[in-house]
Amino acid sequence: MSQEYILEMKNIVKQFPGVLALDDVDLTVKPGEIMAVIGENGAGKSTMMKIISGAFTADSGQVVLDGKVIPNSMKPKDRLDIGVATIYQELNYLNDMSIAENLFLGRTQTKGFLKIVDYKKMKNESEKLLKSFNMDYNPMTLMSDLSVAEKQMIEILRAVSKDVKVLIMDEPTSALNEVETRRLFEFINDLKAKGVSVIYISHKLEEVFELADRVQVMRDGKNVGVRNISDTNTNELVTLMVGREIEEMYPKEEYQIGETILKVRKLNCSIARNISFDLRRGEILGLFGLIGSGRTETVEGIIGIREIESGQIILEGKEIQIKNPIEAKEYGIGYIPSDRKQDGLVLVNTVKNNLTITVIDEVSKAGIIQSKIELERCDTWIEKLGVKTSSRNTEVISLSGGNQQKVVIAKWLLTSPKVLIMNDPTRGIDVGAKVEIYKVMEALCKQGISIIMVSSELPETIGITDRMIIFSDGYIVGELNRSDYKQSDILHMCCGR
Amino acid sequence: MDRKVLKMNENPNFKQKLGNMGNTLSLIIALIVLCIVWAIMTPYFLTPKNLMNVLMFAGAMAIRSSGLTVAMIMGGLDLSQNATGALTAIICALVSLAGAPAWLVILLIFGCGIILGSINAALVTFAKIPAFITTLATMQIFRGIAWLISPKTIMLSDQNLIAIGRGRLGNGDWAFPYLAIVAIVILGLTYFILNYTSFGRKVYMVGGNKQASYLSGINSRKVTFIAFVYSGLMGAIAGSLLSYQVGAALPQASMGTEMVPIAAVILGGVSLAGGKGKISGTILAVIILQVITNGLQLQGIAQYVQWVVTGCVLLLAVFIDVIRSGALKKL
Repeated sequence: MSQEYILEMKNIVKQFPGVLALDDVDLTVKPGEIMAVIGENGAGKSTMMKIISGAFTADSGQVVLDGKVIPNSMKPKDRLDIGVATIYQELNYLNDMSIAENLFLGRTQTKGFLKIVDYKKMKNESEKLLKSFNMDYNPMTLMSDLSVAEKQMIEILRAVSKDVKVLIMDEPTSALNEVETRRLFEFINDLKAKGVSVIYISHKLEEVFELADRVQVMRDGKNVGVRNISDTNTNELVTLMVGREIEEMYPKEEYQIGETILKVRKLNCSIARNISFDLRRGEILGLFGLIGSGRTETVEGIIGIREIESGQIILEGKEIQIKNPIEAKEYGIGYIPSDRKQDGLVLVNTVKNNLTITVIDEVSKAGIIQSKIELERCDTWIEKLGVKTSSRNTEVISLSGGNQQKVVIAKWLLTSPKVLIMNDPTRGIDVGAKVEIYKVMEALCKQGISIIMVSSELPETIGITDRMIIFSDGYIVGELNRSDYKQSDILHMCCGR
Repeated sequence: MDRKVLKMNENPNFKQKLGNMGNTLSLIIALIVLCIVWAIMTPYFLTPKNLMNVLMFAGAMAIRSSGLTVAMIMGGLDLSQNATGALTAIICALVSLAGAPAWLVILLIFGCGIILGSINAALVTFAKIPAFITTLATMQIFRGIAWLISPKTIMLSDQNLIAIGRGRLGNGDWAFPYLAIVAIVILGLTYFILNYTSFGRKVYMVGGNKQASYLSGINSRKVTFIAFVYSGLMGAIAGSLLSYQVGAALPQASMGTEMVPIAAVILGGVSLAGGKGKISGTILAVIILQVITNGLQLQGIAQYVQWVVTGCVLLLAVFIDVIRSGALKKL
């Protein structure tokens, strides 16, 4: 019996602590089709793929392969055997072994009673496999001699060599250059010609238009639309990805922006080159650019965790030298790092201790903590930011992402900062919590605190900032006021140069 | 946030309290069971005289363990405490024999402890050598220097010093050893530091996440440095007190028992990864280990059997840490 779909996901729901990652999601893949799945960071694309591959278990819903339901409990290894293979962003290979050995990883061919490795057989079969995809390599070549793209193709070959029906690829071109990407696309088309179905996850629209037959758009854990590539266009997909509720998402209010408080002049720091900008009182300034464009390096230079080669930082008219975060704190500059679990919080400690960590010397007399003062300040901020926690003595590890982020923000508000630098402040938290964080940011600006927000999410940067500086390749390539924001112009600037 | 919710939580209910003290509770139960077993096997065990002896011998271990508790909560480790103690005792014995008064010798103990602790601290903080390697090396270096200074046992003559090591407060069976008093004072001090001072709070935060603490404007280097100095200082005090108990300073003093305080601290609930632990757990664990040793001695069981038992307890302690961290469920 021939099925219309080789793979089907039906009503998949997946809940993580504090986040509904997938909300009743469907997905269909036809045999021999390239199905693209697109969406912003956190839309649920990767979670979906991990449910197919077996890395995650869905809370409810079914995955059907070739008419048969895959049991939830089936391990990733066994799913490989029934024909579901996944190529993750991080590759999985043994660098110091040959192509042949990598192709046969986990099922090394042996001969005889002593189970001696049958190199000859492995070599011959590898050669056959490589040839069938027009790849002209000696199977005894070491993986370490190959480029990233070639390694990736070998990894795909390994999956394909096991009679794969559905191949899942999670942003496979993120580490590839233009030429390598071409090469990979040809390869994927070869696979398609051989009848393999491919689920291609990406957030690069041009790739999708070039490669895919159909495309499914994900937003906030929901499937917001499936289109045939021939029936759609970039505008429609972008609208679907971003959604229409921008007005509600970003609670922007009108208020007076004050005088210049911080000036950065000709800053050179790591890959950031010749960076100059001003920050005004009560303003949200966005530093936008792709990863590796120098925006993070710039702020890390300002707060003293990255060495500055040259340049000036002028706070309220006085030039200052900041060598570490301790000094930055003294000058009234707070930093909210992008990885809140690694860099922002002491996860195994309590909400209270994480909140007052920045002011622990302030609330102490002669080295002894004045617990009355500490508790009062701690409770004030739990209340002000609406941190949802069962008590102040709860370990922060058990809070949701949004509430954890509020703790990180609150610990800096305790220091009454003049400037708050936020690196990707809404990373990995769900939409509701994002809106709450934006509201907090707005409220702070009204009180005269200035915010520098580093982000790689354009809708967010457009929605919440008063002014935007665009980074590309370590340089500032543009500056726009809120009234002049235009998505296409900004993307042009940060990808251009 | 609802104010009432916070107020309610200011006094956690009995069940919560019981949950919070889960580890402490199991230690108390273990200690009680152990005491009952020994009491049945040897009537002498529960006599005041023996119990005071247990306290006296637990004293030095308790002092070392309180230093180690601070270092390990901060995410460090110190193997060199015993060698620090031996070297300090040798130096102080020589100075004492040269005619220095007891108060000067005591000052010198502090000086030696702080200097030797600072060597560890500097190597870990500034040279960034892992604490395990650093203190493994300094353990051998300090021990070697102690032998170099005096390969022979140095007999002490200052009766004031010997009194601190051997003397007891009061008379009769319940006479309380001075050494135990010193240990109680130090444990109390450590409890105070960890729970009520800003330094203690920073020890927990740096141990829990060094990078996050640093980015929050905590001088994590300073915290690391002081924690190692504190551990070294406790090693020096414990080693000196032991030499006053024996009445002599030996270069090989406490050799081979370097792991016992570490076993005690882990058994007491300090996470090997740092960031968690309580001094109350350490106190109970020290007493448990000392009661085990004492009971075996009373049974007349040879010392090497005691090593086997101590080793097993160490394994058990680390295994408990593994279970607690949830690592068993992982790869």
